[in-house]
Amino acid sequence: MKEQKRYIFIGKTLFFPKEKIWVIGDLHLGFEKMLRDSGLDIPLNQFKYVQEEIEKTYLNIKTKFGKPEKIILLGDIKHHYSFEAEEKKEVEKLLRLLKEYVEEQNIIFIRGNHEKNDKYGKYIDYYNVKDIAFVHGDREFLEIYDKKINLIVMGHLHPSVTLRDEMKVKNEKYKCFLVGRYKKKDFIVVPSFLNFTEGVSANEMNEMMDNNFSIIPNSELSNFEVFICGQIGEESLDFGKLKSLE
Amino acid sequence: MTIIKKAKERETKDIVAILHPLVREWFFSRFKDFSLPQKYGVMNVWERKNTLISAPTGGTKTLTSFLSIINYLVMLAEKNELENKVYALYCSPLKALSNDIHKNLLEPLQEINKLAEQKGIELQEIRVGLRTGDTELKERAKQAKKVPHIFITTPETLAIILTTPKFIENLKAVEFCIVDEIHALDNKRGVYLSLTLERLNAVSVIWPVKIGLSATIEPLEEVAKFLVGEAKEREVEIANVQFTKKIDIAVLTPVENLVEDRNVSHSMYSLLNRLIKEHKTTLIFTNTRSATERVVDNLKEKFPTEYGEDIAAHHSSLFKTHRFSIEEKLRKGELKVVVCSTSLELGIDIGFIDLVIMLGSPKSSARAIQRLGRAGHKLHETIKGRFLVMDRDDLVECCIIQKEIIEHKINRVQFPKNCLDVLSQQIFGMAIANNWQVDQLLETIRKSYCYKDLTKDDFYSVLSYLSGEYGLEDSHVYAKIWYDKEKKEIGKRGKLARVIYLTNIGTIPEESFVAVKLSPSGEQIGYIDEGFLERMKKGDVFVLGGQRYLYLYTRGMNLYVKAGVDRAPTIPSWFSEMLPLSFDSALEMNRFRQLIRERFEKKETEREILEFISKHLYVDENTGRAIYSYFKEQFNYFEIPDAKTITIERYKAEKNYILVSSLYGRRVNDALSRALGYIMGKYGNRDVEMGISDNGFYFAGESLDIEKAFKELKVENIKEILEEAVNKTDILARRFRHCASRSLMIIRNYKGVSKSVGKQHLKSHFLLASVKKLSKDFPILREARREVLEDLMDINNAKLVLSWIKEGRIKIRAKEVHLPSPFSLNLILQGHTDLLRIEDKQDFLKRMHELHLKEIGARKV
Repeated sequence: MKEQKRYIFIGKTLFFPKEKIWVIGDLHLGFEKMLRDSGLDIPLNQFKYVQEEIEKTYLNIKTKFGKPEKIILLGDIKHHYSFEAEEKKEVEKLLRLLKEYVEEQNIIFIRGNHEKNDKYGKYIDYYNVKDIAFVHGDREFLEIYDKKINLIVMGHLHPSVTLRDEMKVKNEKYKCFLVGRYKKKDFIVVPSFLNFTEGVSANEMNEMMDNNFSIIPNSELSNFEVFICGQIGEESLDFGKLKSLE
Repeated sequence: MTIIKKAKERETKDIVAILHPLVREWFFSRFKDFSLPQKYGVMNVWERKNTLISAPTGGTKTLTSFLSIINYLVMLAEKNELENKVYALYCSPLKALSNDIHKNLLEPLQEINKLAEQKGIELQEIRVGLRTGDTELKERAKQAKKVPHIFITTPETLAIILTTPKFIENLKAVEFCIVDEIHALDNKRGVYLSLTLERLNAVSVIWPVKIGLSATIEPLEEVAKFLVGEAKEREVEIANVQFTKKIDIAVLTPVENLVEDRNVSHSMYSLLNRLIKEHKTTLIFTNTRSATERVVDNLKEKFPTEYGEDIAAHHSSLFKTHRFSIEEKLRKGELKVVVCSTSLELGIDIGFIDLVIMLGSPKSSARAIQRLGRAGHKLHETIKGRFLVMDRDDLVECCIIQKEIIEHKINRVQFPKNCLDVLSQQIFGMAIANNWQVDQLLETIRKSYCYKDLTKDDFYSVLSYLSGEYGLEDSHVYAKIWYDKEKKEIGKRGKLARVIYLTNIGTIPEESFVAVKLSPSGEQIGYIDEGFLERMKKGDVFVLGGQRYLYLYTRGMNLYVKAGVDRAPTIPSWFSEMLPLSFDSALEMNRFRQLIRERFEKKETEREILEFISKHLYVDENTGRAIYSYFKEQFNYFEIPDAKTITIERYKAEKNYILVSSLYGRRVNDALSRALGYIMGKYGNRDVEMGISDNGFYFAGESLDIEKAFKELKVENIKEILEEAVNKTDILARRFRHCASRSLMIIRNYKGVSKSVGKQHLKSHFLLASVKKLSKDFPILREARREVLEDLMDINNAKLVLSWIKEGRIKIRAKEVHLPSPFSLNLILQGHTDLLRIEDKQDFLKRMHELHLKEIGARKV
């Protein structure tokens, strides 16, 4: 039998079969509310689609690997910096949904840069399990570089890549995972879960992101491997090093 | 239906007979006799006949419309019978009306008052009030008490006051309603006004006599119906008064040989410089904003000692204050030359211009006449205009347009029909004013010329949208009206309804603008269109306000740039704002091509053909020779595509090309090519690259069976195919955003905060995707599709061309070529316009992945 992989990409999420840890990237709940406040008078039903996708992904994991024991949310769960009533409702809805899968104390909320102001009291800066550290990725913590840590999992960057065809006319953007090595640690950057935006293409990264934007500088990212998210139930696609797509 | 008649020219003595002695004395103290438009129009207004007056700019139209009204009000004022109500409405799409109104209304009234004083005649005060979006609250309150007898306003403000219960009382007995600048209303603003006028008619207890003023425009019958609406009891007379001024026009080429001379651009600037120096004030039209900048840039650079403060660029991306200061300088005669895109075509008096230059084809005869009308603003001066052409297609086109001007062939305009976004906004406004019975509402709307064929289905779908029926899944959707299906009644809903309506009214699409800022200081230089930004990438050099800038990066809705760049601009011409060639001018060109082709086929001598060209196009021999050799090359190489022939060339280079020469203007070609491309793409399940121009279109791709596609495309299925084809395009997304804004789905001003659409960082794609999830038949989505197919493209004339193909009037001729023929070379050179997305995003991903694996595999070996 083939040796089981340490981690698996399932849709836009990451799963550790041995530890039974399910990792979900930036959700930005409340993005829709922001649009509505700026005068957009149509329903986008953000939460509905988030819920559908989480349910589908969960079922897929359950059938293939059994029930997850822990769910880690990698920060930026909500969109607004301050706490909006609407968002609170949505975060609670999310919590209710996830509680159907694991017990509440096994849902880990990592603090993102959108969660500076934590009335909730749930957020933590980082979370270490065995040799894996989970962080949002905007700030560094000594603890994640501890000797016993081999792998750092982060969100924050919303990575995606743009593919161009031979005619150089067609452009399509896809969310992806970035996997690489930096500061003698393995890194996995998880894409955002939010389904509105595909973020800034990593292979078109410009000055919009300065080097202080995340804990990994841009120049290092170009050596990372690109795995474009597959549909749920399909495998992610290896596109080689990011710099080969530039 | 509405009856249309021709107005008659009246005798001076008959007009004099109706004038009050004071008005008569005033008029003849200023003028010797009535002008031609006045002889046609003044009596008509006096007799209270609906009248459309079409005459060139610089005429005396405005006074024509006001003279009888002034006369009537003076009579009432003398008898002390003036009431506290609006007698006459004057509505113009231009905001800067004050100059014209001052000259043609305020001055006459002042002078008549002075005359009356001298004679000891006591007159009641005749009040004139101006109301636009900028009018202050204090002034508005004053107008509500002391109601202006003559009320000057814009289409949007008129709609607002028709929603204000107090003011409606003052509008119930309006006797005259003047609509100025109708020729600028063949768009959604016009559609909007036509409904507003029906709202006015609906509240009126008497018929407000309609007086329409228009520059040269065709077809006048349709414009007349637009003015008075479509109903049994309505009648309108047309006064068509054409140029009495002499026109001096010519087509100029900067070099003898447009093909071989490599210095076309340099010579053009020398010629421009010479023309500018020979005249007092020159106005140059360039068609695009980017070209406007380029011309100013080049003139300054090539002739640094000639141009300083007296040259200016004028286009709509510049700051408003900057534009006003240029217009002011122009009026004061402080400028030697102004270069504009299309922004100075309309309205406002811009002072003395003795030469109009059109760089590149103006694309239609009506537009050309409008531009020429900016020269020699006094009534009897000669109008001087020059076309400057850069390539041979342009040369032929300008010669044809010149011919149309000389022979008074004016291209026809079309008003958009059944626009559901405008309808939504208006029904919302009508519901705010009062409750409506649904049948009565539909009847009122159908009297508008632009909605005479509105279907019940469309009408009810708009009511469904406005009453929130589409938002069933989510209670967030804010219903704008209530709709009681049992009582068949509608009315406004919610406390904020009026505020939302008043602050979001109008139809001008809100293009988002991106602020251009210097890096790192952040100093703001100006704005560019979001669409323009989409075409640029990092490192591009572009021109704004006559200066070159390097694209560094964007952050939010700001573009950061570096100034003082030496490199030449890299940004290509801007397709999105290119003016389309009018269908009528295209047909005229096809006829000319056919005439030349027949002469070649009959083996006429060069001399004979040259003579024919000179006579037919009113051009000199040099110009004629250039055209002759262009046509001869084409004839010898392949075939001349003409009124009876569409040619197809199959050409293999780094890609497989299909070049189709179909000279029907880019709006028709847009429709034809997208439909054909979509059919071909479906066969191969691959995307098709395409380029569109006025003269034809090209495709590039892997498997392209154009003949099969031509057989499959028919009058009956083109609409369906196009709707599929545009479904995933950026154009639809963008147009949808505009429609969503007009129908108040996107509220620009909400709860007192004004936010530009762009600032919200939301791409129209989100909107579109979410609406598609709601319903494919969502009325505003259908409107966006209609706008793309009918207003942006021209599906109706595309159908006409398809029917000609079916009847055999047009033959399709195909050939393999080693090189593109002279006529189709420009098709390729202009580059691609768009990509038809056929292939699914996931399929594309897998295909790219396979390619990538091969590449990785190859590298490893």
